[in-house]
Amino acid sequence: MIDQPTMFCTFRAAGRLFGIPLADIKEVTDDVTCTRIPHAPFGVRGYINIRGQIILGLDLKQLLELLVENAEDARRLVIFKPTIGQAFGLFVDHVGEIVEVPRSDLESGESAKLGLASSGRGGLIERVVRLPEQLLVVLNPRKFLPIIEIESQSTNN
Amino acid sequence: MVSIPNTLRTDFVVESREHLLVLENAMLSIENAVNASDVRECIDTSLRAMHSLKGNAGFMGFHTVQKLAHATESVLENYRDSSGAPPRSAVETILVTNDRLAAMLDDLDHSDSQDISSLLLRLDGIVASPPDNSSVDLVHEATTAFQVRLPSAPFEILAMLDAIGAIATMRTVNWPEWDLTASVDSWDDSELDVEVELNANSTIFDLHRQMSLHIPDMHWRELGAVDLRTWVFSDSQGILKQFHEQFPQLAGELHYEPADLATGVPTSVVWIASGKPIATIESTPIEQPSPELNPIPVPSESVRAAPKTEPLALPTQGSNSASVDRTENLDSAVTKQFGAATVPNAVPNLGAERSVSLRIHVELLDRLMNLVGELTLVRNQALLAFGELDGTPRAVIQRLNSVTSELQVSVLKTRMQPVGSLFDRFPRMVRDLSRQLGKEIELVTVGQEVELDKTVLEQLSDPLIHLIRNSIDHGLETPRVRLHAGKPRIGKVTLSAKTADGQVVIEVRDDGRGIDPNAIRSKVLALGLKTEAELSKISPKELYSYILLPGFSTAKQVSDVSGRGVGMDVVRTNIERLEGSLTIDSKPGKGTSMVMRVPLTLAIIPCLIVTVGEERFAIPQRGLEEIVCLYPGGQGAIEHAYDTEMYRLREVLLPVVRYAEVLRRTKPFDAAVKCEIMAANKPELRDPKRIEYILVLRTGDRKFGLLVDDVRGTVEVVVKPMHPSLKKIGIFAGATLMGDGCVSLISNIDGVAEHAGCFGVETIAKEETLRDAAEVHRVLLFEYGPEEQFAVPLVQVRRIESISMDRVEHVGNQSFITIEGVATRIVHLDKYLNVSSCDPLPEMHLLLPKFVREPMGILVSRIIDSDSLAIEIHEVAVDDPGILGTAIVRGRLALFLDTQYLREKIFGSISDKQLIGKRASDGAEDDATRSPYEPVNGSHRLLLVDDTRFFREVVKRYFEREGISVVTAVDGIDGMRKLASESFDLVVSDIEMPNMNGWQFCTAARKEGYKTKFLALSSLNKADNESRAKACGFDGFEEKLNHDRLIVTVRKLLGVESEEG
Repeated sequence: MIDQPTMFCTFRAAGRLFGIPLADIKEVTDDVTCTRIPHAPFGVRGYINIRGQIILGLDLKQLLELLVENAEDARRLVIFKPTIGQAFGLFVDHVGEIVEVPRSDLESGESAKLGLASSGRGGLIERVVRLPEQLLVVLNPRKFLPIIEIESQSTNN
Repeated sequence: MVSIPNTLRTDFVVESREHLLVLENAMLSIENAVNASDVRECIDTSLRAMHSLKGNAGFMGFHTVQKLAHATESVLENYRDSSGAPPRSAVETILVTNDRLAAMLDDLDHSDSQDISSLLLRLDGIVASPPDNSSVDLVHEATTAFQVRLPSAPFEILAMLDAIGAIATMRTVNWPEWDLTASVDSWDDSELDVEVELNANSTIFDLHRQMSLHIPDMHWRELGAVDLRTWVFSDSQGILKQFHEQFPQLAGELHYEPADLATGVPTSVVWIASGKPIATIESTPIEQPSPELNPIPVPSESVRAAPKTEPLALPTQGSNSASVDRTENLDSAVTKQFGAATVPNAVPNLGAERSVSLRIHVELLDRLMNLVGELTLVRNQALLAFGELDGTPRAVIQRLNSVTSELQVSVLKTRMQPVGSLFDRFPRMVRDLSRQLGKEIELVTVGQEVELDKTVLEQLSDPLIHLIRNSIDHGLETPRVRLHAGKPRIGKVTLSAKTADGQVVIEVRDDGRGIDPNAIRSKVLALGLKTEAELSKISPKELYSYILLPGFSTAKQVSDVSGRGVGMDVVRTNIERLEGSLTIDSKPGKGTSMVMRVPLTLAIIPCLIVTVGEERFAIPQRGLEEIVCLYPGGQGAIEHAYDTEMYRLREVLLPVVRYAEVLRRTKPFDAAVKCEIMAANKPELRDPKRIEYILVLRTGDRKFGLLVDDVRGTVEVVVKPMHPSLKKIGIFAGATLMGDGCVSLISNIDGVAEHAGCFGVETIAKEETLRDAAEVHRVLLFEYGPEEQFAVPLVQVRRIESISMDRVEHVGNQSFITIEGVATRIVHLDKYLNVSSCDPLPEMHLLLPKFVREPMGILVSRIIDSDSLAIEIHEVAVDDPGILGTAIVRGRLALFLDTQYLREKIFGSISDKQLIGKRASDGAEDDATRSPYEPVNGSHRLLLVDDTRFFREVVKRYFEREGISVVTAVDGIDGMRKLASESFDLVVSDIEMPNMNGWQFCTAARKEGYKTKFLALSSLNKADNESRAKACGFDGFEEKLNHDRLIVTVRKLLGVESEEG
């Protein structure tokens, strides 16, 4: 039990590699139609219909302030389990492979001391894990909706 | 007997079993618990479970279950407050109780006749003793005694005779359930003196309630010491004799277990006949047949219990006597008595009950709904994909199609529930309240079968409870007051449900004292809400609406039941949250009626789909009044006034909000933003070719215009709330899925107005000015042939439909088009009227008239406008029966069409069908002279009073066509004059008229002694005004202007037609 590695679903946004614990993910959907929500805070892409359920789609690049001039529109939606937050998903560029990170590596992973930390969105990044080839930025999906709520309050009042 | 519906019972049983399981598990873990906090947790869990069970059982009226749960709760509480774990013996007792409760749930009908006294004793014993002492201590401190004087021996007391038998022998007996002791002083043929000692923690109220001695004139008197007496029981010997006859095999003596005698509590009594025990009688104290459930006093013969002063010495009839359980006998007597009510509801066994009902989480149902919606989309795609193919796939797809449709209907149905399931809760509540308040009440429920969405239904429960409580507490009088006022002794509360206009109307009506308008007036004045002058002007209904304000209660005292002045406000808020409304009407001395209107379902609302840029939005139609199209070359434009854009909508300046700007700007508009918007949208910069729409929307009593790019049509949408993280966004009320599977946002009109800082224009003032100008009509102007301009009052227009002429089908010389699945007859005006014909255009309009049952539409080549116009109607400037009159509109002659005439020309007279019945409508077209029906002989004379000339003319024609001769009057005064000079068979009067209105007119006429029948014909709401009309002396009330109903009613009043016609 203790030695079991954690599985991460990896994906790319603006060229960077990110990971989310596989256990938090319900499904990954391709090529969805998204309805923009006027007045929604920055980071919200819109509503998506997934089999009759309306899902709130967030944009990872916007949330992480990865505003590279990348014309490529993120069209892949990672949908989270209800335990993570009510009916929401994350738009990413590419979904990559599933990587296993041994628990020992995970525990030694750096806490994020990245540029975001000062902006109040620091909580989105949980840690940085050293994979053999590159660094994997592990996100904490539970922090996404709270950040949206905070921003929603500041923009609409 | 209050019958409890099966559904509730089943829910109760299922839920209670869950509670028992929790209790059992907790008790079992206590035995294995290691540390104190675990024990504490187990006890808390059990307490919660028992508390819920107790509450539910109390609500359902299963008092034995309730008592047992209560006792268990007490035991648990005892250990919660102590440090140590309960001893094994206590846990054991609780588990035994648990099993007993489970057994009772299996046989609820007889649960109240179960003897639980010994169990209760055990439980009480645990409470009374310190946790480490398991001995039973029953010594209570006697403090007070009461005298009871009963004029007769009601059922409850007869039922106690079981116990009395014991009392008589032992001189004293305990009823541990309510901590009182009774003993017999003396006992003769006609009288029994019983002494009741109440323990320190009981009150006289407890005794009263627990014994269910609800005899109104029973006098309770507190005495210094010990003397409770007198159950007059005059025929004890007779009863005893009957008892012998009934149960000859019962013979012997009663013996009590000595151990119990020591404490004065017989746990069991043994019959001994011929020297050996033949039956064991469980001593069943007063709770026995659960008197609280049985409000009906039962004739004494029903209970075969033998009162005895000494050990029963019944004639012994041999030793072969069968053993009889006395409890069971009493039971069967009770069952016989109440069988009709209880037996059909009996839950036969566990298996059957599981198979008929299943509790499903609403979330799961919602998910099912979603999935079915999705399946429908897949079905649509499949239909398209396989559309061109033939053979097997197509058949399969069609099956998929039909199965999907059926599934959708079924799933939608799962959410609908009859209001009966809600109404069923009230008889019990009413009964309890009646006891509590000493009033006699009959509850009548009507329309239980009306179905409502589950969510709506659930949220109606609390408001309804409140309204009923109000009716009973404030409305109904005590029997004495009622008799004094010449009313029946028993007050009546009517709870009714019906569907009307796509809504469900639920009414709570009582025949009580009503609400005193003066009390409200003085309260309004006291609170400073209105001045006296203002008050004198408002209508009674408006006055009653003040009751709904927070803190507004006219009750002089706050009672247990109601009167704090918060309730009605809560009720109103709850109902408004359901998109419903609440109105109150009352007649002092006659009663009060509270009417709730709620939508059938919350989930589905009609919306208008509009686009702004590329995006679609749904606007709820509830607030939509009209749509103005700004098109090239059309009249009117958006103009600037200081910081607001305005549109001249007839005589009103309508502030206009650009939806695109609202959507674009996340911050509420301030002056700077408004100026910015104005600068960007200067009238002179406007693209003259651009087509835009202004939606005229109403928020509260104000109006504003919302500018959108395009209007796509209307659709019924399923509302889904906004994501919780986005609740702060005020401009949207929710989201919905469109037919193509995309998500659309539903606008919140109030939120949009607020965001745009637009307060709109008041609508009320405008309507009043309109009403002042007597001859203003809202009319639709259109063309058919090139020559004439036609007009139809908007009140007679149901809808305008755009049609493409290639979809028109021809049958002979008639043409039809399918609208909403109905073949609709197209009316070419030139065929019926002497007007110019029209060359068919590819796209035309169809005017669907209101109040016409048959599907027909008038073909229109061009819609000119709809407008409120002050029109002078000339009666017959054009001599054509299909033209009501003419008027000059915008410098051009407009012909007012008589849609009823056209209808009759095409389909025949409505009266033909109603009276003669089966006559086919086909062919009636050629039959210009309405044939088989001339029933109204010309002798009927009718007085028509209406200030609006147009209506006067229209209605007059309706009547004249029926062969009734009509005299008209312009207002009440004129009407009185005409009444005096001629005689009439019927008066049809408008209500809202200058000089003397319809109410005054009818009241005056009645006062003068005219016996003529009066019919009110008004644009006022019938439901709200019918009672007032009756009060003024009208014989009927009809809304303007439904031809068919009007004619039918008039014929009834003239006696031409029987009521059934």
